[in-house]
Amino acid sequence: MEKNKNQIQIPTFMRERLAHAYVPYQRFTENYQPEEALNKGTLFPELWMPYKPGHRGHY
Amino acid sequence: MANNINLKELSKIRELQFAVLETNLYLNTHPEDMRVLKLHNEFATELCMLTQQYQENYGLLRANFSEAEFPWQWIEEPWPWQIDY
Repeated sequence: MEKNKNQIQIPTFMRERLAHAYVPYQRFTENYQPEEALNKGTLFPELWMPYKPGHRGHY
Repeated sequence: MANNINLKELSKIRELQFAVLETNLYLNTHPEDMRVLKLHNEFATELCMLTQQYQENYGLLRANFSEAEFPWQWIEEPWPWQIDY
């Protein structure tokens, strides 16, 4: 008990390894024309990720 | 100035506004990308030109139009939901 008194209590969740988020650096290749870009929601083909129900993570 | 709308021109302006925003955001994280900088300037120049033409020929897009006429025209513009796209 005496020993624990001066120790900083680390919450359980902090003892676990946290997830590391990362965002790959975008590299420009080509662009959509403005009309297509507005329809797709992005000017950049590498960022076009249409949502497909039932497909996990495969864009 | 006529208070009417030209859907075809308005769409072109909306598309260019989006394109300029996209290059703007990209350049914030890639300030030295010459190709996209060029693209940005092209889009922005065309947007500026079309916006000016639109406001001269059709209706106001922004209330900060510098050649506002008497009486104040902004309130005569249709609300977004009054435009039949």
